[in-house]
Amino acid sequence: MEALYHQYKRRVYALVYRIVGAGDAEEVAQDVFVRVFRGLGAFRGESQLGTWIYRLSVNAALSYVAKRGRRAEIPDGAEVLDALPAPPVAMSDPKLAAKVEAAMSALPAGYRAILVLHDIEGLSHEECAAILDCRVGTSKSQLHKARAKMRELLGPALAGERERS
Amino acid sequence: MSACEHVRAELTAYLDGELDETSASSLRGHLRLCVECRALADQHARIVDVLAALPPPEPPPSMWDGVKARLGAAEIEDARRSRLGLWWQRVRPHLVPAMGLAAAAAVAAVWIAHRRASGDEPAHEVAIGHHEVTPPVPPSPPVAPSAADQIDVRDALASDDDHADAAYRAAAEELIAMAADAKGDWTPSQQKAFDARVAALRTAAEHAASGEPRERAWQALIDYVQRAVVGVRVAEAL
Repeated sequence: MEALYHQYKRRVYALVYRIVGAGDAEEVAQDVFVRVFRGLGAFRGESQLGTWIYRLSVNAALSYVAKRGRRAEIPDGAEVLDALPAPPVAMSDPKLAAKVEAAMSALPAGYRAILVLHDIEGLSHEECAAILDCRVGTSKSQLHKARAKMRELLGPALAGERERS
Repeated sequence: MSACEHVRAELTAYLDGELDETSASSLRGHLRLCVECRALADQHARIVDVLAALPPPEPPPSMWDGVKARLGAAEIEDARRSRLGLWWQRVRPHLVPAMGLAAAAAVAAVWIAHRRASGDEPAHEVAIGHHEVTPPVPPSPPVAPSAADQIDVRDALASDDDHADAAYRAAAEELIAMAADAKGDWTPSQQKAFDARVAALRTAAEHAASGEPRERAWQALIDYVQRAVVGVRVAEAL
């Protein structure tokens, strides 16, 4: 059991972290692992174990966000970009990364989910569709809308980035 | 759709390498000519690059301890539910026939009321126990029981009110005794509220009119105690 936890802890935590936010990520990730361990007996191998765990993670995170009604608490646009939380680990462009993280937190939870699965975790649309229980075409269109919304939120920051580079 | 709109709709597929070579070449050609679309494509590509390079957040070391604690709490809850499930399996044979007879009582009462309303029933017919007969009445029962059936049903109901009452009372008392264990985890104010509510529901059950009103009162007491002990109805727990 512990080996399974260590195998998936980073992926589960990273997924829920970016959907529910840093403050609630640990609680939701713990809930996911409880569901995983208590549901392993019923897991029938119809999908890969990793896909099943991702699906539990996304569902738990989206349910949590829905219950919390977090969207109402999050400011939009420039307010979000003004609040620049430090990224978890330094990267080559930490300031832009922080803005991207902040912009992500302003997206609807469903957009965050597809961005995390496809663009951050690098899953295919087929895998995303299996996890999100939707069609591949829906996964693609959601990703397109999510990126467009990100560009809308990050437009000035990206423009400034181009001028500097 | 203009050429720009078409290109912008295809940007995600292009950046993800999902366009065939002809479509991709056409899109690249448009980007060479259109400054606005090229800026848009640059921004999309930049977002994708940054997202892919975001470092994963590290799970806190305390997370595993939290998982183990939650699993332990869930197993304790399972133990309580299992105990409730065993209890329910034991009392159900006594309660279910009582509920069935209560339903039969309602049907019989309605049928007799219909007979009276239509003039088929003698005016001096004795009412069934304390069941209240509530119009409106179905226009015509599909099968009217014989006079002998009426006597049998009434006799059964008269004796079974007592049986059902005893079965519900025993079930409620047993469940309340089980709740005594769970109460140890509650705050004093929760215990006080629970005791007061149980006393009120028990009084209501004991003073309710026999038959269906009393059964409903016992069921309300049982339902409340179930919810207090495990937070869910027995039917959901099984």
